[in-house]
Amino acid sequence: MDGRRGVLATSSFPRLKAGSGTEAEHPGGGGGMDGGEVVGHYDRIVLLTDDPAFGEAITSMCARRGIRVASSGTGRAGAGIVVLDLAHFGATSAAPPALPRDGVKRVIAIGDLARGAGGTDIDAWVSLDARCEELLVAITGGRSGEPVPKPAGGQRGTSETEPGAGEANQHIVFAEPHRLLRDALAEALHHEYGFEVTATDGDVAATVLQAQRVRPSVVVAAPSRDLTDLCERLNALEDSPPTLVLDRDGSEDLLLQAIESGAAGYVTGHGGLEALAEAVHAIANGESVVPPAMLGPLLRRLIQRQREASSAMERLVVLTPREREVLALLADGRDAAGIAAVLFISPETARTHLQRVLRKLGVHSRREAVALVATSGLAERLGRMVERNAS
Amino acid sequence: MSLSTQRLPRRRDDVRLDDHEFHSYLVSTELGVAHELNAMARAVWELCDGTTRVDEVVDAICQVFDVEREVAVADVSAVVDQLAAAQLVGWVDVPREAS
Repeated sequence: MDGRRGVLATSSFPRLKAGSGTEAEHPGGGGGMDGGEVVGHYDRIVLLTDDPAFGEAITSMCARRGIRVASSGTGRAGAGIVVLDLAHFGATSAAPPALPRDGVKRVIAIGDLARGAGGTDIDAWVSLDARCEELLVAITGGRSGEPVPKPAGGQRGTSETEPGAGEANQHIVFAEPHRLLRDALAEALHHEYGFEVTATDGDVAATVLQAQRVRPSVVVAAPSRDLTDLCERLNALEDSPPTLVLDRDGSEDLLLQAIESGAAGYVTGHGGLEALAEAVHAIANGESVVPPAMLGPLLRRLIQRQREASSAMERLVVLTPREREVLALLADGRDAAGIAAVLFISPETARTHLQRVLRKLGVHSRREAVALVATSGLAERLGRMVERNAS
Repeated sequence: MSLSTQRLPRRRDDVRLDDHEFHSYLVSTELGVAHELNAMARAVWELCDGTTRVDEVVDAICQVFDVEREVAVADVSAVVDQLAAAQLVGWVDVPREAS
């Protein structure tokens, strides 16, 4: 294990410069472009987000269409048009803080309409499930007679595009249910970092199918309740691609879920697109990636889980084989009558066994007993103990 | 350092962790020195709380990273030894657990 495991790979890798070939001039694509020029008849446009990867993807997407957008976490000096990433701006409360309108001609909100805008007057809403063109229409005001600019150089890196023949760029599958996120990030990863990207809407079957078809070096997936299922099915593939979880929010719970699901790595958007690209390369090279500041808390939680499991095991071993069977059936959702039916005993005998189980486990209710099995992760081990008894 | 359940590493109270954009440092106000940490060393230092055994840290690392246990033991032990040598952690004696 080298000392860099868990650290984002620091080796350099080729980064394609936007603006090469026939593509539109790109001012850099990174965040913090305060002071950008007014382009054409558009006012200064600032995207407020504390997700740098998302911000860079949007600014990159807009730039390829001839629209300069500055991405910032807080600064909006001189902005004529503000694009507010509702889910990731001042998100310490249910709604973002009210945005002063001084000098601002239009405010566009990206996100969930139901979340509210915290008192900020919103002129246009764009869903995270919208197409990129809808955001552009909102930014430009949808002036009649003016077509939404098409991206220079064509729209590559979408799920409809096959990788070019003879190209040796890394191919990734990107599973993200929100269309705006998916399309903007896929486009940016392709144009800025040279990845061939096949995007899916996060559906497990569709993602696995694409992984079988294009044989990516990495699958980048948004966190979801299907993450475990996705990782298991990907890991079962021949030449199974490793999974990198991309989480906009940065959550210790989701990190733990990612690791326990079998993902090879986890990143947030805080490091921007470059950190995401570095993580993809590291994962493709067989490394594991965890944000450095989150590694200690992750290890602590795993240690705590192991301690709880050990403590629960010490209590389980004092149960008789019959009592373990009863506990396993209880954890499976059966009541005394159901346990009695499975074990061919009377309901009274089943209740007697249950009382003994609760007493030996040191819990006061059946619910506590079930919770003990669930939180200690011992359900599988308990089941194996029951199977051994039956064999 | 050999695996031991009797002596556990514990962070010194006069040492603080400073996180910067790309690097982390341990700063000892008493000694007036700063030590740069990589991500793994940073995580190990965080776990030096006087209650966590080295073998527990190793087990958790092996859950996250694809690494041979022997390698993880050697690396974690080396980190703890280096932290102790730099006087960034001390040792606390805890009762040996009943077998």
